[in-house]
Amino acid sequence: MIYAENVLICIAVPLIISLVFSKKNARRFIVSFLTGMVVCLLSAYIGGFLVLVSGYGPEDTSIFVSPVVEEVMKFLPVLFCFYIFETENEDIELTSVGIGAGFATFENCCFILTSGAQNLIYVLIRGSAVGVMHIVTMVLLAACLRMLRKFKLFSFSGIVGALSISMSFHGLYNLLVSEPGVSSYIGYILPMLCALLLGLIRLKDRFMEQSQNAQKSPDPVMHNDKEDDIFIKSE
Amino acid sequence: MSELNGLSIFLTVAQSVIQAVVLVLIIRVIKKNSSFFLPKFVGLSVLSYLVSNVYWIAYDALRPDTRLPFAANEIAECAMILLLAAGLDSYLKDRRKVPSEIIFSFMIIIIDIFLWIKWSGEWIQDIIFGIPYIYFVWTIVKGLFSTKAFKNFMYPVIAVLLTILKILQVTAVYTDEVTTFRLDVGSWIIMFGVMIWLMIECFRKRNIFVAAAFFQWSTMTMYSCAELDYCFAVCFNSVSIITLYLAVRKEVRSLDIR
Repeated sequence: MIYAENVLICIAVPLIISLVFSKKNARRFIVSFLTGMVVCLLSAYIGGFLVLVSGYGPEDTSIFVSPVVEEVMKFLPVLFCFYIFETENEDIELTSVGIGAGFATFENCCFILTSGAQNLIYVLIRGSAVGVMHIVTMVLLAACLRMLRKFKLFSFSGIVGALSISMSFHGLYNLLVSEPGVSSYIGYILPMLCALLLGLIRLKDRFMEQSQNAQKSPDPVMHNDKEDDIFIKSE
Repeated sequence: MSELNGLSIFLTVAQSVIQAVVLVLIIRVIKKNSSFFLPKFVGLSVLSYLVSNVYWIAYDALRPDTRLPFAANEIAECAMILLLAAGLDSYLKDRRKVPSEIIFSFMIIIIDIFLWIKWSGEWIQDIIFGIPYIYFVWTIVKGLFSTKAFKNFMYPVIAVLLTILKILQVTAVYTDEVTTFRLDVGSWIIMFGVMIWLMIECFRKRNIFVAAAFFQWSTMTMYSCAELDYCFAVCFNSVSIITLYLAVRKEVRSLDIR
């Protein structure tokens, strides 16, 4: 047994102090990271409660219950930021990644404290699979939320749809790694592959954005921005 | 593993390949017109469906012959329905809310949920994952009316056929084996008859709401069938994904012309 609350305090205190000396994006990331760790602890409480209530074994819980609980818990702070602070698109991504990274870090800390860190390969797999998976699901969620906002489709069905995508990805990962063998290898590789793919798409988007900005007409009067919006749904 | 089970797995794998290809094609459509939202939502919806199928295949491979409980594949199907409904709803210019359309969609899906519970015995998940279908069916009904997808006399015909189908299915739950078989044959004729008609209409008109109706009808048929009829329904469902892509492509092209 480990005392997860004590571990959280131990990791959180230096981060809280560092807030005093940080600004803007760095501060946002640290707050998100801390939130991710707290959310991880709360998810563990809820998951533990659901194990007792549902009667599932530990393996079935990790496959069927954990993805739902963890993704909902990670999603709630993002949604809070989105609605309360009306966060910009770039900041939403930063917040989501911070929460995902904080969640993964705290989960890994607790796991290593329970199982030990003697086997380097195992620790590496743990870090590059579960750790990356939490970030991938959050990046996916942030991308969906950005898209919903861009097209003014921020409806209940759109939000739940976006959340469901990240839940199903998480569920698929947990299912694949639940059994030893080829499926677990695919499961371990899956988050890293998705992270690379998302990173490439992001790089390409940035490149396209930069080239479009460079090609834009120098005369702002001649360029009608509204022309670009004709396909975007009006409220 | 029985031969039918093997066939259903093979068809699901084939459907996943079709979904992957359609996804790539939709990405190409998005690249051509990145400011139009509909292809993005259809793309995300197809991606969710692909994840659902991959989960189902992985589950069947890792835990053969065990019933899939409340799991990520149903969440992915929920995502598929919600994202498609959100995209289609926003594409509608018609913002009216006709009570009869809402009540019709509600009643149809409530009967479906009742049937799913009777067939599977799973209360909570059938209710939770049935609710998004109400919104989806309502969006389709609104879209079919507002785009004048069919001739006016066809709407009451479809409504009557759907009502007869539901009566047959509900009655079949409470009758003896011989009567159930006869009622099932009646249901089968209506389900597959309407599905073939919708498929032809999809290829003729390439209307996004007709394609969504075909997709929804084939999904409901899949859920209502077992054994060989289920395999047939999976084939039609795979075709419906292709018709969704064709309809989206047509919408994008019509915007380009405008």
